[in-house]
Amino acid sequence: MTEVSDIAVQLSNVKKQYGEAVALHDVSLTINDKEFFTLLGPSGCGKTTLLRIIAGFENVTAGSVFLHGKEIASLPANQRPVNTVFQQYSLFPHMSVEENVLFGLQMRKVPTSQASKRAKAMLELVQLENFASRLPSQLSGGQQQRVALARALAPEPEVLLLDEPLSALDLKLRQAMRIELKQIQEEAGITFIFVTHDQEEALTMSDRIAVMSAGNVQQIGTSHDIYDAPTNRFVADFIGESNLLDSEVVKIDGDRVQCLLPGGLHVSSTVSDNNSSIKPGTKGHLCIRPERLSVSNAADTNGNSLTGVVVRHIYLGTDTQLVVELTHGQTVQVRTQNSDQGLRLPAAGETVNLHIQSGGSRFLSA
Amino acid sequence: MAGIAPNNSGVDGAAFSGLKNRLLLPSWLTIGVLLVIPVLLMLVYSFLTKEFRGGVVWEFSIAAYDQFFLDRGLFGDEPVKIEWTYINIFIRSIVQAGLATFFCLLIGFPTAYYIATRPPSTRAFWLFMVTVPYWVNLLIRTVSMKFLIRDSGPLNQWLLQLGVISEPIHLINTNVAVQLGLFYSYLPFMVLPIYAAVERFDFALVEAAHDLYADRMTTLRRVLIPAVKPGIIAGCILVFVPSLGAFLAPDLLGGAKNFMIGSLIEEQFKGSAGNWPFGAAASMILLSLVLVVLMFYARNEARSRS
Repeated sequence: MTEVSDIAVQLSNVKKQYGEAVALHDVSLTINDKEFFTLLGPSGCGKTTLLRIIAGFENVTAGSVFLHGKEIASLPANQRPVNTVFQQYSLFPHMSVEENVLFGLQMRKVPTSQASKRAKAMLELVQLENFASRLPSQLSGGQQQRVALARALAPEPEVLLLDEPLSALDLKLRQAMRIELKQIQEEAGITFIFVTHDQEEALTMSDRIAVMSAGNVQQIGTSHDIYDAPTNRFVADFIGESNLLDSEVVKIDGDRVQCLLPGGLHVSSTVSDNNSSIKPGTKGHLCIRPERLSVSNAADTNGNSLTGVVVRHIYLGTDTQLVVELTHGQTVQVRTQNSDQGLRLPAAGETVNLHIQSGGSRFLSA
Repeated sequence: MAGIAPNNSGVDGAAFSGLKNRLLLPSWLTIGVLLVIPVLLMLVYSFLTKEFRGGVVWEFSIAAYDQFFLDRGLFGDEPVKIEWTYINIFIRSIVQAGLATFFCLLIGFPTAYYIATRPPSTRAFWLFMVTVPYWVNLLIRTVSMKFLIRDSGPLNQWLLQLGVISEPIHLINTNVAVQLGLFYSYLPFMVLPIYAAVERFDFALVEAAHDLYADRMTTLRRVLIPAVKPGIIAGCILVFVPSLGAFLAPDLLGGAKNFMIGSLIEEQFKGSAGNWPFGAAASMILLSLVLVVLMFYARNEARSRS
């Protein structure tokens, strides 16, 4: 049981409706203090709505929002000790960089000398101390993004909300900013709630991720959890690449299950923790990541292998992807590292055995 | 070589600049014929001698400016004093135009804000509604206003019937009536530029301000107003400048006591009682005044840009 003081934000049964349209169904989640928490999902999944509810820009239709144990659902945005980094930065165009950073401090009535010291420190943190007197329009996108970050951090918010702040930057800058953001979060010791549709961004920065779709939270967990142990088909499909094969449970074997594939193959696989509903006869999907499959010469019979015909090779630089058509017609992707010099890749048309690495297959009932 | 090889831009520079001048000719003609020549004419006329039945005698004289600023007594032999009659008319005009600008801003800003924050589909309707009265001639509107506010007019009748007042409010031929006329005549010139500025305003900035602990009033003062300032200034100029030279409202609603510059100038060119050089001189003084206001604005603008 975690102490209340260790919880930064708690949402319980939050519902949001716009007329008939439901943006959030019934969301409950807990975000720990000083955590880098990411809301990840495709556009329209409700992640931004959730962020705006915490910021105070949207009212909840039902449910409550707690900030460090205090109910804040009824507080207007300007009385909540949280700050936002907006997707389009929303810097005040008529104010200099320094005035932008000072704004929140002035509103909180921080004494002038202290405020300017704080603003200076924030600009140093984002390496823009030499740009204090510039106008936002005189800065590049990446610099504006840093100003937005400095402005939001300056008033020392209890929680910092970031609404896809990296989406407007080009790839190289985005990758550099990921590492930097994580560093800044650790240095500042503030809870970050980060919204993104970019799974790579989420996986690299987050302590924990909530995967959302269609107004529901699908799974909450660390990067490892959601990649290696997805609890449902949506998460498995959305995060990374996966081979999802139709299958049916035939036998429960301790914490593993025996699954039957349409071609008559039996595969032994793990299941998610809440497997109480799974019993022999349950239909679902077998999730196997492409890199957990490898080409092997000999077929093994202990339920860890698939057989198929190579359809094509796709060269991806560091990896080569094989598309293999299984005997029952479904295709799977297999990923092999190109640094494996000794490995001979089977040619198209060749029949191959695919070895499933231990723990590489997972049965999903939903 | 130079005659054969094309230069970098691939266009003969000299030929092109000749064409550019010819293409600009219509603009130069328009500005010259409609602006520079008339102003020069007025300037010249203001330094001529007046003819008794209107018109001028072609003889240099500064009598018009002298008459405007200085009081030399009836026979011109008394000690020179400052002539306040016309200066007072100017001051009254500036005060009236300033007040009209203030009231137009007071009503026009919320109006423009309201229209700009409606859904895009209904904005055109509201803008249309603002401009509808202006499809009617200004003269007719001003005369109608006179009928509305006179002692036995509908406004007083209505207030009397409601028992708000016991005897008619005397509005006609007062400064208040002139103010009402100016305000009504020029309100859309305030609404439209502010509307254009607010419509372009990024309302995400309001959220950003709220997020940074600003309340609504502070957000208005520190974020919205600075962002739409160019629209506000444009609106103020568009109301102040024509109000300063207006003559219909002061003539029809203000009567003889509430003269403004516009009426003064108008009178100098009307009928045989006029004094053309004096009217031209008053016009030049008015023009200088307006130019000072505009230069002040332009300098302010240049400073805020740099």
